[in-house]
Amino acid sequence: MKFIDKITYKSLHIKDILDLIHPYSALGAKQKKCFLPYTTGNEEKLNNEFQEIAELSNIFKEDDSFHLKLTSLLSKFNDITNLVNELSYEPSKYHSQVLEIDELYDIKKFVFYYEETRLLIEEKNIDIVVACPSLSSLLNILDPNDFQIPSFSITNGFSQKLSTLKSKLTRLNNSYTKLECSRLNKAKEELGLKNIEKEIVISRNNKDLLDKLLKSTYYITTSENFANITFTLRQSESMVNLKKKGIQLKDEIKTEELLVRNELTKTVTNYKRELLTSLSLIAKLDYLTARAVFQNKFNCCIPKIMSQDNNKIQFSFNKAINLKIKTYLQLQNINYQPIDFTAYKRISAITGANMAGKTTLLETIGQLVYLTCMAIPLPCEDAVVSLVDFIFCSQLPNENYRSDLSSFAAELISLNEVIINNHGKGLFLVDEFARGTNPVEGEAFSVALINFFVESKTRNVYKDMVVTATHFPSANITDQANHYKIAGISHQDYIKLKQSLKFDKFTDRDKLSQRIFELHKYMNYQPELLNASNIPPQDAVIIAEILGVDQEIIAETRSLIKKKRKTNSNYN
Amino acid sequence: MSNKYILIDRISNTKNSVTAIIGLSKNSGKTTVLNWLIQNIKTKKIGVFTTGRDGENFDTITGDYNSILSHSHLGEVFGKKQLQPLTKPKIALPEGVLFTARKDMIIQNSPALSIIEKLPYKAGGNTLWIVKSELPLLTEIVGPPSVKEQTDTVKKLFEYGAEKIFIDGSIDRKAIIAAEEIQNIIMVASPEVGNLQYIVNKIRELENLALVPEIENDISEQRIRVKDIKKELEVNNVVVILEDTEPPHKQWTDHLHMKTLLGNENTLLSEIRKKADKTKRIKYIFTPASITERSFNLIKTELTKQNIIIIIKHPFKILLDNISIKKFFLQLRTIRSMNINAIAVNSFAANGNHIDCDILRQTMRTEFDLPVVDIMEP
Repeated sequence: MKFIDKITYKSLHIKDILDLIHPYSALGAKQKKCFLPYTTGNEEKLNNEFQEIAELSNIFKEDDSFHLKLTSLLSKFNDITNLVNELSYEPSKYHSQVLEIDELYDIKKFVFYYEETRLLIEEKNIDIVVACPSLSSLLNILDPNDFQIPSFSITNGFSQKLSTLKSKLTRLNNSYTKLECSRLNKAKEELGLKNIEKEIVISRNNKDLLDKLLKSTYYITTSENFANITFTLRQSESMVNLKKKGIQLKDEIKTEELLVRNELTKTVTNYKRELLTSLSLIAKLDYLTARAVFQNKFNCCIPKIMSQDNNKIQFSFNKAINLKIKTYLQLQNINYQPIDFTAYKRISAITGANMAGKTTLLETIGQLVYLTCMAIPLPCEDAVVSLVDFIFCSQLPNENYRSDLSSFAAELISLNEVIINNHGKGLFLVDEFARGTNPVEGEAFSVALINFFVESKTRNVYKDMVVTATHFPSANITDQANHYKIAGISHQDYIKLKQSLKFDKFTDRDKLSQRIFELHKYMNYQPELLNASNIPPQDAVIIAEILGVDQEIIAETRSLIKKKRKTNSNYN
Repeated sequence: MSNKYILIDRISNTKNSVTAIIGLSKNSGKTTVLNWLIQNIKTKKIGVFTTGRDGENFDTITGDYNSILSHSHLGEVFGKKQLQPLTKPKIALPEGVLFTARKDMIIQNSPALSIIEKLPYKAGGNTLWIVKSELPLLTEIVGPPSVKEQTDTVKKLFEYGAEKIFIDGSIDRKAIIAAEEIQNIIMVASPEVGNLQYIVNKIRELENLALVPEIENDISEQRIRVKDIKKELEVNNVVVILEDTEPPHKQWTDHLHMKTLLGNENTLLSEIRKKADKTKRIKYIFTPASITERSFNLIKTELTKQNIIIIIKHPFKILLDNISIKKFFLQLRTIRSMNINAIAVNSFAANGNHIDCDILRQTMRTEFDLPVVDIMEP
């Protein structure tokens, strides 16, 4: 059983919301990617996680410099989990396992920033610090000279012998340079040259100088071609000896450096468990921080998590925002209307005019329940949510669905599969069920589905939460469900709209955009709780008119509706 | 004072300078010049990186080519005297130099290095690192391929304390020269690219390009700032700037629906004529892409007739021959000009087209006013 299937994930635009949460390091990003939802029975754990986010969020609001410092530190962490996992030390085969200098750098850099982060959050007395082991002793080992920088080298502080060898090599190099300079100066003087270099190129036509150089003991010919001859400074015997000593010293330095790295590998391996704990703590802290930043950025709330035995309400959102839709509308300069919605009963049936936002409401509910289970603050003023074991959204199948099925068949099959295979408490979001078939059978299916969730012989439906949006009137007639109507456009607003828009043919995109803009302005997207007997609004013609559909079609539709109503009343 | 030391003084006296060493061709001797600069510059706080790969054992092209010859029957076709792989000089770094390296180079030289930072970008699939030499060493260096990464690396090297930065570049990866960070350019010429006359022509072309004036000098009287122009040009379209207008006037520029002049010459000409007839005359045309000989020939008459100036981002975007550049010099401007500080010559050619070093040095000095340096000149 999956918490959310791919189609529901896509239909609810979950990725768009999750993309608004940005961990600062690869560790946090991995934590976000691998995060498992909190399902029923884990209410307390989820509450604790939300408390940690709330705590960080409040601190960030109060202390911006702390926020900047923490996020800047978090951005420095690389994911070295694999490197630490592979740490092992066996004296018999240490050569193959000795950490290379770049690996030691990675570990030191992690430990360095980990300690800085630990001290920073310790100062703020944040709860997470309780579990943070100190790695200061490891940092002292990796930074013997107490440079207090993340860079790494096998410095003299690691080995006295290494220090002595490096000093020797430096002295030797200086002596060599002195000898070389003195030899070059002598050559310059004796050969009467203007400038002197270790390597010089002489034209074959410069016979005088060539003769001098060829006879000279200072230079040797290293290459020649038809045009020029290249000479290189001949090393004196003492220079050659120094060079040899230098090579020997370099070998000794290399051996000593290997011994140092071997010791360091052994030491670091002893810290393996602490390092792994620290890595997971930084990952957790990073993802908590990213969610706290998300909370502050989008004015989110921490939802109250309902216990499973609470039957008063299923979930409730006050001033809820669908972030994907809001962002889109903002780009179009259209105001977003936050939604209030409370589900008192397990089953909620929503009706409303076309374009009134039924699908968006379903999508928003799905997003908010998903975010709650994923311990992400909700873009609402306040919210009450009970945990679920899975979320399913039944919509028109998209291009990912099987191409050998009609839309009606695909919708039925996907719902059927979930009902049979998924156990536990589900959130079913059912959008205009059976719309793909004829109205008579479609309505029957729709009513049957609601009745199934009221009482079923095959499935324990008493825990499931169902939100369904429909145009069919009889689907609403059950006492076991709450009925909602989306307010839509009032008659007065329709008159205003009529005045502001000329209902002629729309010819270009701008006119359509203007009409949609006006429609959004006057549309009230707020769901209202109704009595069960209410008939769904029949505003399709009005919406078509506002959108500028051909007047001839509108007039014909109106006339047909009128005729049908007349026939119905005659029958009655 | 010899030219060599004039150059060293010039670089040494510029505070926090970035010097790009650009070869006219492959194997022109850039690395030798770089090594010489590093050894002679009057500061210990040096940063070095390359726009590709330098200091490798053998030239990856000629080396491989020769190894094929020496290991197959083809060697017999070419006779017993087979070509030897072209050995390349290593980068010789004294103690304390910051440079960019790959992991394998770090491991090879680990006792002599400090690791400063792992960079967030790669070269040839390998992660790049900023390291510092703690002992003198001979090594290979690699660098980031994109200009953005290269300019970021410059900033980082300065942050870590470098005062003089040297970039080993190449003529085919010359985009870095256009970066604002570059103060000095040293062109390295060798007969690998062609004969003496060809070298002279090639350098003359670059010298002429370097002389193309910056738009800033031009517009100061008109109260248009380079900042305003740059803002307008962010869209990467051909933009025209109208006469007697200036920001914040809304209509001071017009963005044409073309990314380049190439293939759009007739549209541009009709726009020029239309604007001259109806509204304000066009004073400048900015093109984000290169200007080619073909496009220029088609529009030059109208440009001179109406005294319209073409603005390009950087002189390297001017793909005109020497004669055209000279003739239409007044019609060209750049956002940023380039500053060639010296010409370094190398008489050796890996392909065998060596030139007499005295003739090369003498000719270049006679032809150009810039300091001409041969670091192997006694």
